[in-house]
Amino acid sequence: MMKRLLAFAVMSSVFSAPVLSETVQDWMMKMSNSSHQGNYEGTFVFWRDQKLEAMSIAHGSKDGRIWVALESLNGEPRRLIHENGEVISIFPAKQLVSINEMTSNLPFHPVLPKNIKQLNTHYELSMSGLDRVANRNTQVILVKPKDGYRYGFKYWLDKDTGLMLRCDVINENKTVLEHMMFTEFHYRESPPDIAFKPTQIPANYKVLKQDETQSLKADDGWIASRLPAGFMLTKNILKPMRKKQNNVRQLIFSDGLASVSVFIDQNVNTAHRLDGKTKMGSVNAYGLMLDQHQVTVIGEVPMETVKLIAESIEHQR
Amino acid sequence: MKEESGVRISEFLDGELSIKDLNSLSRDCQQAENRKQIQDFARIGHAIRGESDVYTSIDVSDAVARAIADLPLAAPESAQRSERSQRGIFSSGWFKPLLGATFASAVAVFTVLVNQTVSTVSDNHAIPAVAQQQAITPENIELTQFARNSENSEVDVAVRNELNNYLVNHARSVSGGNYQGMVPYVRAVAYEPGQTEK
Repeated sequence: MMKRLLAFAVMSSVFSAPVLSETVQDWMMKMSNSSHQGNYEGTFVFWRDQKLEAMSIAHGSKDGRIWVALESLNGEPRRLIHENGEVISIFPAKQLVSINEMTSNLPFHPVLPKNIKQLNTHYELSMSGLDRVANRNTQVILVKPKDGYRYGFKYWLDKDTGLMLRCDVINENKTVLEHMMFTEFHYRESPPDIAFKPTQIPANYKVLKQDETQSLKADDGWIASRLPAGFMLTKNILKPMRKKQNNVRQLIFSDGLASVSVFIDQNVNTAHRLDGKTKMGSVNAYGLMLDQHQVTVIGEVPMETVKLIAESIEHQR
Repeated sequence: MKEESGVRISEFLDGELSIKDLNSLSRDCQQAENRKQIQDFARIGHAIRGESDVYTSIDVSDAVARAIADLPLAAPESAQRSERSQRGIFSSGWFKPLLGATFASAVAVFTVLVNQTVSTVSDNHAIPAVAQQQAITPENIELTQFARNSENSEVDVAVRNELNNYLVNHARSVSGGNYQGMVPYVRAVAYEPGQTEK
């Protein structure tokens, strides 16, 4: 009798207990997974500096494939479609299409997001209450950097799906540098109707194709000798670039949240080159000359970070 | 500014703007004559909410930013980074400090000289190009910072176009693979080529 009661008590506690409270790490993983696997459509605003943009997004996932379409709703029409390593940018007003074959076979970060604990080394993650965005309930997550080499983030994650419905990028002075927020959001059980259909490109459009997949093995000795803690090299590619006669070397570093690209260009117009620092929104850039190459470092990180990386670039022969 | 535009701005700052009105609001924001009214709306919002207005001179960026933000983030130790000095002076283009003006107008310059202890990244063997790279922390590097720069200039069109080209390439390259999913793509789409390319 006692055993039955005990068993009943145990079983009751298992099945009737409320869901254990999710940790902030759970929410981060939920955000990461849903951003790649979810099916949804919506409209959002993106603000930086003095400019406000409205965009629509459709996202589909099927059989391990991901399809995304982003379209600007104001200004010059722009449309971007991403499907499994191919990014197609369409500019109807210019009758121009740019196609990038991406190196999707490489993980974005050697450690993350498989080991989310690594994030705790450089960011302080915390839950910050509930809110409502696009008429949906959200969990607010704060991501505070532990040093001055990266920005902070504030995420509003959909309570049901974990999808990011609002994101603020914040600098060390608590100033919002960028703001993205859904105003309309619809989660779907299956991909949107338009997903995974071949992109129709009018015959009279000029097509620029950049194939990065063929340049992965090219390594001509460019390295970053000093990096902020946590940043790792995730890509080293030689890529063709619009308006460039020669291919441009691109090194990409990331700590899992923030990312930085180093562009190394041999063919430099010395009269018109970036020497020093500049910025736009949350994106900072720093340029310098090294061995008759223009080195330009760009990323959504503080100026100190791009400057540090730029000045640590070396060419090993 | 027409009355309906003012209503839209007020609605945006209060988080009540419908998506239908965003296009016209976006156009309004790009007109210099309307920026002061946007700023005034933001100030009124702050006053209503009982928030202190610590900036004597704010631009649209600050006004809208502070209207939409509720930010309990603590400032990191390096709170006097040079970026603070540049807040409020940027429009939608790329800007850089004038070299001479930077030095002439710098209110304070300080240098932090600390130990040069450097640790090596041990788990980055994915790509040989960085096998010898070293990781550093803010405590072990030499920093020279300018507390305030009063003048800035816009980078020239050729440089700006190149930077935008790099920005789009960077955004495309890093999208989809991190926690934030498609956010970098948003930056790529947000860049409007017609604004800068001649």
